[in-house]
Amino acid sequence: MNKRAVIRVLGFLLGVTSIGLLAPALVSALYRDGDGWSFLATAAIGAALGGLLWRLGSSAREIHVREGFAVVTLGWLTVGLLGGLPAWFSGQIPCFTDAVFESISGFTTTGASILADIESRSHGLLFWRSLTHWFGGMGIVLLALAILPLLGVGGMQLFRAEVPGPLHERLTPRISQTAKLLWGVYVLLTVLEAAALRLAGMSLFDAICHAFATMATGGFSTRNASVGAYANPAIHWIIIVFMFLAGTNFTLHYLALRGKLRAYKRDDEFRFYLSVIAIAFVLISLPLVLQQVYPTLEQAARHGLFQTVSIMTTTGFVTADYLLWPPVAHAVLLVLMAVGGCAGSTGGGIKVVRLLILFKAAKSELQKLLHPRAVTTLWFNGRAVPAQLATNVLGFLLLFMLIYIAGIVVLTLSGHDLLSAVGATAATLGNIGPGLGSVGPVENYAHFLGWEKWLLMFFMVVGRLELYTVLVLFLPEAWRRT
Amino acid sequence: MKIVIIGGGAVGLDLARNLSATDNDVVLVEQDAGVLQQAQEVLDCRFVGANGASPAALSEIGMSDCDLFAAVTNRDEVNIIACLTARKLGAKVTTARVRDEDYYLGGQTVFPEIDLAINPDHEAAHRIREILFRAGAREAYLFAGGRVLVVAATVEPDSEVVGKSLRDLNTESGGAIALVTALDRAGQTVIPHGDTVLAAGDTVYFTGTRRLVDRSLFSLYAQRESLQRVMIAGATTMGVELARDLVAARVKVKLVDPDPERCRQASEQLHHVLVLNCDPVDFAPLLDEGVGEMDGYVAVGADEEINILCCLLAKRHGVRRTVCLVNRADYVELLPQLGIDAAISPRKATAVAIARFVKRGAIVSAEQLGFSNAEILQYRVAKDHPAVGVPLAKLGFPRGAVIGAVIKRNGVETPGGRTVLKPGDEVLVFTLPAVLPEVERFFTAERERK
Repeated sequence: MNKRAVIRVLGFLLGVTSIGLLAPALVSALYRDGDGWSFLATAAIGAALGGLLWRLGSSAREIHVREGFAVVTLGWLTVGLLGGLPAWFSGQIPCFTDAVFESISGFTTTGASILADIESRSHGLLFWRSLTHWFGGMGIVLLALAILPLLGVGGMQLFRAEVPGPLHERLTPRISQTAKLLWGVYVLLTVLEAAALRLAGMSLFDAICHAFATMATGGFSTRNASVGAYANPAIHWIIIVFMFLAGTNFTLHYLALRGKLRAYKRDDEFRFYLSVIAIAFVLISLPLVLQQVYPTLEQAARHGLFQTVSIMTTTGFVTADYLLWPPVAHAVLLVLMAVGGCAGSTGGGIKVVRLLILFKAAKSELQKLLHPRAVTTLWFNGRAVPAQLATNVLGFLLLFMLIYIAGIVVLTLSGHDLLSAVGATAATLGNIGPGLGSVGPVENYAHFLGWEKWLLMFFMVVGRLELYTVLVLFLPEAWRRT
Repeated sequence: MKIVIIGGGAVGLDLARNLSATDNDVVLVEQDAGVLQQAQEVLDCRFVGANGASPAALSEIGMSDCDLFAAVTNRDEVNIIACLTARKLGAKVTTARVRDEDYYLGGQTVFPEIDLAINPDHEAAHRIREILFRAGAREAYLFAGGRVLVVAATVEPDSEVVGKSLRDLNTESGGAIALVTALDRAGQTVIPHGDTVLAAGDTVYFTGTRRLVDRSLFSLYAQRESLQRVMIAGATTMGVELARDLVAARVKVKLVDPDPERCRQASEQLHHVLVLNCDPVDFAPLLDEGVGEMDGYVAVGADEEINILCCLLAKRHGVRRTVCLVNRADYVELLPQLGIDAAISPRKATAVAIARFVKRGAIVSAEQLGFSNAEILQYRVAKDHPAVGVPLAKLGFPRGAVIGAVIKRNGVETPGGRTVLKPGDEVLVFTLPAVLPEVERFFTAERERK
């Protein structure tokens, strides 16, 4: 591996983050909450360290497969560590582990928090939490690719290592151009949502923070009761719509903006995504209606749909404590946690497309039992997909389940009850945020031990980068010189 | 007329034989010395051993006086480049065999330099589809993008049309019957008229719109074909194309090929088709796949003898309709006796289509009826043509030829004595070989007639 090229790109990423840190500093200054210095100090550290790494490193033109994985994984770790510093410096989150947990949870768009009282924190910190979501949602490396085409040929490696999904489509010949377009769509949708929320009666600050968290499918709110703190149904519906959009492949949004609205209809994954949401919605809302949990039909439908979309897209906003709902809701939500958003979206989880491919592969296996001599091909979006893809997806699912089970075993061994262990693992590995049991929608992650928090942080990063990118670095040959 | 043919494969040889039989100067260009050697023994024409796409070779042959340039090697790219080069060097009419769908855009090549691009596999697949969908059909030809259909069917001994004249049939059905434009009786093709009486064993050629032809066939065979399941043996270009065609018509298709690699390629091109990797002659596994319950069985493998054998086996296991790819004329004659319903010979079709495409502008397409010498020619009526505005009855159309359909811009007309041709119309002419020159003169020799 060309370690010096990796070091240079890491330095660049730190630099980008330092610039990002100026935004919360500005917000702090505006609201005069006295926290501005902590962001500036962190930005200075990031810039200094970044500059140092940049000088130590060598030309980043040498980014190949191995370097791509290393850059993205290490980049996310360093940026995550840096992002935790302001809260620790200012004493808003006195414990270093907690501060980093909050930061990594932000960047990975998990939205799991250790804060019990969110509303008492400074505006600067709340803004920074939402901003980490927003950076992490479309991807910090992708952002770097969009701003500076410095990475040249290696761009595709980074793109592949960071953007979720098993199939990667370029919108344009140049990867930096594709990154720009995707970020452009992302910015546009964020602005639209913020405007819509502001019109629906949210304060500008809250509207921007919630727009950041929605479009990134993050889930950090500026309120203790999350979106449930707003009584206006319009706000809930707006957030439902934008969570749904954020969980969709952004390539489709781009095509739609170019006038090709049929792209949605033609996409197998999108149709499957829509049907999963529809089925889950019925399974969750029907018992709510039948058992009269809510006084009106609209409320049952709204809360049911909000929770379905929020968990499915791995956002993790809540309007109601679903732990009080009938058990079938818990079961369905647990399944949705694993499913996650579409490939190329900001959502986490296994991804809809992978499940779809597995279903198709399973169907073709059944067919082979009936027709032993059949030669079958998997079809996706009207095209034949390489046979190797099914194996790749199967491997992904196996690794996902292994980590999932390991997480449950370790957390129960450490003394947590089964439901909480399952909830915490699923919610961090799937980048959702709220889980079940002691990490339910009205709870938080403060009660976990220090090392457990580091474990959960590992799950978040592994989940966000879709396992392979991180896990491949555990192979010794990944570090050897070529 | 000077004709240059590129490619000494089966199509090229067929074409050269066909064209050198009449008064033409044929030049055959072939790169492979061995192939050229063999061709020299059977053909009376000039031979050039060179790359047919090479400008040096082509200008040496002389393109400025070349009336027809036909590139029919088995490589599409060579054919296309050869045509472009020939046109640049002055060839009058260029034709190319282009078989890969990838080189077409909306059914045509994008090169104005290529006057006629022929995709025999594609056309054959469409024809097989039309045959399969019609009970009793033995041959099928499509014109004007499928708006006009010519279907051949045999009159069975117990049919109620035996002993009736065509005029009687027409009055009985109230005029709602397709024209019988040709008739095959005891190996002899004739152009029938109103008094012709149908006999058992005749093969009649119906011409008209799909609806009309189907209604006419129904008077011969009082049953409709319900085509739900078809097995295709041979994942060749034609087999894959046919499978795609049939799936689009909601037919369940099973495609069989002995070669695993071809199977894989086919399965990557065909959605909703079950591709099976087994030998089509080995029927035990195919019986497990329900070959006996198929409505149709089509053998389009590379080997003609195997195709015939496959169809016979399928017939023996109860398949109702079988269609076979055969290129050798002497095999085709055997098929009706063997009980195989229809034969398709794309190689022959290619040669005919190119051979008739000599008079540029007037002729649109050409087909040979079965393996007789009668031909179907599609002409476009020129603006200053003497036939414009004159009723057909008064036209003095050559005997031994008949107009089977008039294709207008917005519909197809069944021609009668009072039909009047307009400029831009296209006519489908059935002609016996003896009057072919007369028909050609009728449509190409212009003003001096009037």
